[in-house]
Amino acid sequence: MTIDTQPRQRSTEGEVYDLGYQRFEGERSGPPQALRAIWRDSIRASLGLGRSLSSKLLPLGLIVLVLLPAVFVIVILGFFNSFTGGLDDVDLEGFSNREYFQLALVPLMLYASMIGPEMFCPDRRSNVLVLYFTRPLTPMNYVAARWFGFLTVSTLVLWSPQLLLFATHAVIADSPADWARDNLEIIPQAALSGLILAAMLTSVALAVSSFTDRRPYAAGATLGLLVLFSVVGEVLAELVSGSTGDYLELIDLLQAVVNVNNWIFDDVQSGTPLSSWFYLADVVAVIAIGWVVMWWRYRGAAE
Amino acid sequence: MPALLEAEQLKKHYGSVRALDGVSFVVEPGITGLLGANGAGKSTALKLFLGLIGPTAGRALFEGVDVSVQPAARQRIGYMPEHDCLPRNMDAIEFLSYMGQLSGLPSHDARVRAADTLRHVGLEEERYRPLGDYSTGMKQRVKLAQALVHDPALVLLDEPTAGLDPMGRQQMLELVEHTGREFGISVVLSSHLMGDVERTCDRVIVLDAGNVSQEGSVAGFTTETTLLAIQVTEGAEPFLAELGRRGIQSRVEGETIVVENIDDAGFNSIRDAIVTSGALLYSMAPRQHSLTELFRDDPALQSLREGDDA
Repeated sequence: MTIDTQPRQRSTEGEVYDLGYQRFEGERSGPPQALRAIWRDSIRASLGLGRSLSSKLLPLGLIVLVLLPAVFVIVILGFFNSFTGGLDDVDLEGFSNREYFQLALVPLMLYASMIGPEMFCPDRRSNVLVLYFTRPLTPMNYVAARWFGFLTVSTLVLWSPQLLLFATHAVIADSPADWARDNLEIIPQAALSGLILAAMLTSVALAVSSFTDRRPYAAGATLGLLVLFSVVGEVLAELVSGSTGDYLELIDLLQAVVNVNNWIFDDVQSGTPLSSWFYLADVVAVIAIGWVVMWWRYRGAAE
Repeated sequence: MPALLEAEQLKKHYGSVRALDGVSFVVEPGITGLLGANGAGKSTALKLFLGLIGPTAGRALFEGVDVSVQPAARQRIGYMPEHDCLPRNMDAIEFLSYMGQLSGLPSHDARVRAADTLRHVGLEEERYRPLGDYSTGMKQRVKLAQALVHDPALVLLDEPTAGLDPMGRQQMLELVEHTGREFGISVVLSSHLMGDVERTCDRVIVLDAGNVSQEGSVAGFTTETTLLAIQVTEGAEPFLAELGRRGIQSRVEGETIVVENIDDAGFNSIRDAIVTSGALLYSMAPRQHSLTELFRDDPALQSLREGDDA
């Protein structure tokens, strides 16, 4: 056997081969892949990913705003824990997972109102919908993928501060493991409550956005609608006495979803004039109406 | 085996307006032109084949399938719309990759094909620029690229040269020809410009007010009747006069004298006319008809020629 001990000459020339047009021989996943693509794009748009720096600032700023009450609560709890040597004698009313959504309702509304329009408005404004619907996708598939995409981010945004609060309460307790074990039911309660709130805000924001291709208009209209319903519901409940007033308070969507949240955490009727089932039905009806509106707006979008 | 596209007694009425009035035609693989004036029903036909709208009556089939019933079939069709439809804030590679995934391609394959397709349409260097910064010609190329990124069996192009300058128009038509002849993707080119169809297409279907007025191969149209193009360096006037005396119809196009519908006896007569008039012959050769010449006497197609002239 001989061994070539001569150093190999380095090639100083290369060749570029143009393979020309290549046919795609792989598997096509059809509608499921199309739905996944829109779902992923919705998540990216909700967070400003793949966009310019200025486009990232708004969603990230609003997410920080949603987290801010949790950070504030954590600082307060840490303060009490350090200076009182424990939380046993401290009134935690307002600082628990149960109250968090009430505390963060305004930032949550702002997030849904200002980021929700990202789902529909840019597509309508750039006329790109015709390209979507000439692919294996129906208008309702598109609406559903957008809705679930925004719901995914909204839910995670709502769950994050709840988890932070839970972890903080556990860490500052005398026995973190015992506290976590004793209060484990908070996790599914916060998860369910957050999901319902996110679904309602998503439906309202996307249904309103389906009427315009201008994001500022959609944001203003969503925020205005939520505030208007809240004020009208409160005022009517004050003006009209008796059970009719109680039913009219259902117009206040934000109060309805807070009542549902309290019901989930307390597992009892929390002093509300109507059965908690009414408030849950109210929220579910809002979600359903949002879907009907989106269906109505997009039923002929392919044409 | 079913035809690539087939229209069966296809009707689409919008109220009292008959966009398509019971047309039947078949599109075979290759490059087919759908020619007609604005409002002739071209875009309506494309939308029916894509399943975007339902017919009033009849059927529009892609490979034997009604796409409105089976939307999954659209993963093998590409569509380039006439109007602007690109998001301003996305770059070309991201947009094409996204469009590939919407057509059912796995994410990695969509990314690879997006880069390849942009190279094929000549936008490789511009692939990371936001689409909002593109010129009209570049946007048209991206629109073509998104129709090709998923390697369809068929692309439907709606007025692909709209808004382009002469150079851009020529480049776009070259891309269309590449697509049909080198990539092996069948093309339906909807246009109101005869020149575009004549240059790129194998077959042509002419729509007029919702009806098929003519259809056949472009070569068949243009070679059925020959023309004789004659150029003389001197004595053009006496030569034309001599042709007239001999009863031969002729017309002048620039520096060329064109004679139509001649037989063997006509050739002999032209030869004699050259000798008699003393004209100095530079060239004499048969020339094909253009679609414009063939449709010259069809009043329904006047606007198509005007579009070509523009």
